[in-house]
Amino acid sequence: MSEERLPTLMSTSRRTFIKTTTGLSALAITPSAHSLIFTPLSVEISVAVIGLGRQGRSIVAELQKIDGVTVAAVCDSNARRLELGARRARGAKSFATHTELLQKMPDIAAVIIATPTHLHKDIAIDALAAGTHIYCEAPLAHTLDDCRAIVAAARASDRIFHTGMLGRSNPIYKLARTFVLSGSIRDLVTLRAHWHEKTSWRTPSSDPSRAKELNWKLDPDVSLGLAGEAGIHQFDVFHWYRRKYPVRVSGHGGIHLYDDGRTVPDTITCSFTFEDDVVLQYDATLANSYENHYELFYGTMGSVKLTWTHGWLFKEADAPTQGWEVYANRQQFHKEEGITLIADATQLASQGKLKEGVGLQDTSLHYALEDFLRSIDENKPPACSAEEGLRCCVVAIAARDAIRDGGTKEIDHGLFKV
Amino acid sequence: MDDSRITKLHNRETVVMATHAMATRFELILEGDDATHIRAVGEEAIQEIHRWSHKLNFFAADSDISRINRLASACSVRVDSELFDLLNRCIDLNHETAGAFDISIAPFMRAHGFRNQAPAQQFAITPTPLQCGTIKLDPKELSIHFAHAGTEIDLGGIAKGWALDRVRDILVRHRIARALVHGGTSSVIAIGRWNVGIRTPAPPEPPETPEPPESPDDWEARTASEGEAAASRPCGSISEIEWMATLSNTALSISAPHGRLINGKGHVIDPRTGSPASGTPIAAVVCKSASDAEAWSTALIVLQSHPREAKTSVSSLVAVEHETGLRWLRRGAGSHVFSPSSEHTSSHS
Repeated sequence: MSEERLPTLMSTSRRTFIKTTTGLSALAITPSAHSLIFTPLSVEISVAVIGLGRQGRSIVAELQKIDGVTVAAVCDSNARRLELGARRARGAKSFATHTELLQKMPDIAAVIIATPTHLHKDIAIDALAAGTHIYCEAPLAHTLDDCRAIVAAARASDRIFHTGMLGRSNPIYKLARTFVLSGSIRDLVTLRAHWHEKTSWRTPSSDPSRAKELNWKLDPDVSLGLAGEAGIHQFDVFHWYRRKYPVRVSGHGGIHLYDDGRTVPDTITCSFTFEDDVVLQYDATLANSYENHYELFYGTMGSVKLTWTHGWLFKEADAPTQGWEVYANRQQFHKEEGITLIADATQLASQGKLKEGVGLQDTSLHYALEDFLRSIDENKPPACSAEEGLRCCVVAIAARDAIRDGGTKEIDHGLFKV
Repeated sequence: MDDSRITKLHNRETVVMATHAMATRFELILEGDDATHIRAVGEEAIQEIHRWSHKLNFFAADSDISRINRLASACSVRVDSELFDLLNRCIDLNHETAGAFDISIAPFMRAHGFRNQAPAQQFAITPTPLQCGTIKLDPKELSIHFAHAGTEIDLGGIAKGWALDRVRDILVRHRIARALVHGGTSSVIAIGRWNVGIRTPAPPEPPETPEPPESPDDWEARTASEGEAAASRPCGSISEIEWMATLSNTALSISAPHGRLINGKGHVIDPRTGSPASGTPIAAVVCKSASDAEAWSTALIVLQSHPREAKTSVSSLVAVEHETGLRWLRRGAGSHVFSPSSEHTSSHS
């Protein structure tokens, strides 16, 4: 047994000790206040948003809340979406193509790319050539060739290229990472993540000729499916925490609810194996909403659970007690028979049952956009580079292929090189 | 999304979808020719409900409203253009309702225990006329600022209606032939013609101990589609339905003070006095905008038997219960003042 500071635990009252072993108490991970305050930008930054689907319009709304940022232009090839986006971004100029936007708005400092994934490459390369900084929604691209082309263009430019992996900018996730890296949960045993949202992914279109274009996520020729479009952010959390990438993936997918002629599975399960034999079990579905999204790190001395707005550290009974824990916020969850199930804490928070009440004060997207703008303002590296975006796409594409073909795919780390 | 069912009526597809948001259940009954298209439109509408549920959530730390409440006393807070429009409309409604509708009511709600805190044993709330005067909107900067510290806004009195108006925009844009969408059965929008029954449960007995806040909606609006029971929603017996409203591309909102009770007092607070409103057991408003209908139904509870105090440019058919039964009030021709109508008296339609 390694040298441990047992006296703190031994001096704990018997009542507290029993509570720790028989119930599952969680320490709420709460970032200190300073990490939640956005320091104003030193210069005004004019931004263009390209792609005005739901995500693009959300981006417009978040940018409008940030002091020092002006949404000067919006762009979408779909007239209706362009109209909806322009209505939100009052005063912004509207364009149907990104080439026209870049040509007529030379003063744009930054471009946010929120188009369908398979359209990222051309826009990214053109925008970099025009001298703009780029925030590109994840996944970076739908093929490795496109990813490499983007990385090459980003390297050749002196502009900031930020791949929009949301976990890296999330204050809760940044804080929880320090716990995991410092050994608070000791050695990792296994990993788990899950993405559940009951929705068909189908976009309505009154024009049949545009139905395929609007429903690109259901097009097997261009879509990375649930692994790429939903899982990418979650896979990146594990890559970032572990500072390593899996070496193989096995997958399975099926259609369990939406029997509407689609071939892209509405439900997937994957198993990613790292070189140290730690396995990430992942499932995603469009057919069920229970517990929404989370990531779990199980260690020999504790577990960390993250749900994008909250995080918890669950300590094992034999884990040493640290001094700061005396003042930490704790949350008791109900215990299910046999295996402890943790009720969704986000729901608890929305019911006002979280005494602490200090969850995230903005959305993950908001923090990611703030980080991007901060990188421009302070000329510092982005939270997630184009290269890191490429690596995550290598993993996601392998997962998509494993699901599509059945069986196991090796993940060639040589593909990370450009 | 919690549930969806598809049935076929008269060679039209009917899709029923539901979701939980804003501490209540929204239900969408959509009709058209293509069930796949209808479902996709319904999902877009549900996403929009959730988007507004998150933006306006008083309790969620990362909502737009929480951000405003946290910062706006100290500085101007930039908001997106849609939320600015909503806030602007709320200020206008405050003026139109002579202060009966007021989004700065949160401190009063908290004091009376309707914000997950025990009600104050004693409180002396000094009435402050037109609390909304503390809210400053800057249309150029799209920002909001509170002139007085301690101001908090709560858009719970209009949120469902606003979400339903956005849903209507989506349904109309995608040319849904006919639809009925409600939030907690107390706010309803209709595309096409629908008969909506209104049932009023008896007010509950005052509890001995304070109750935690519950869903505000004890109302049930039973629907009958053109006289037939909708296949996807069982209809109560006709004897349970006390009034009928025919909605044709309009909205209906119903408010009652005893939807939620704490210490025997209802949740509709008079912003002008800080005390729970009492007297009028039900108010129902029909008009084009679900947001306006919801705001006005709350305001009429506050205004009680003096709706003439209110002036509005909204063309509305308003029902306020008097001791003789439900009396429909119609906006007088050429005026902006409500007066009793002899044409519509309490009865089944």
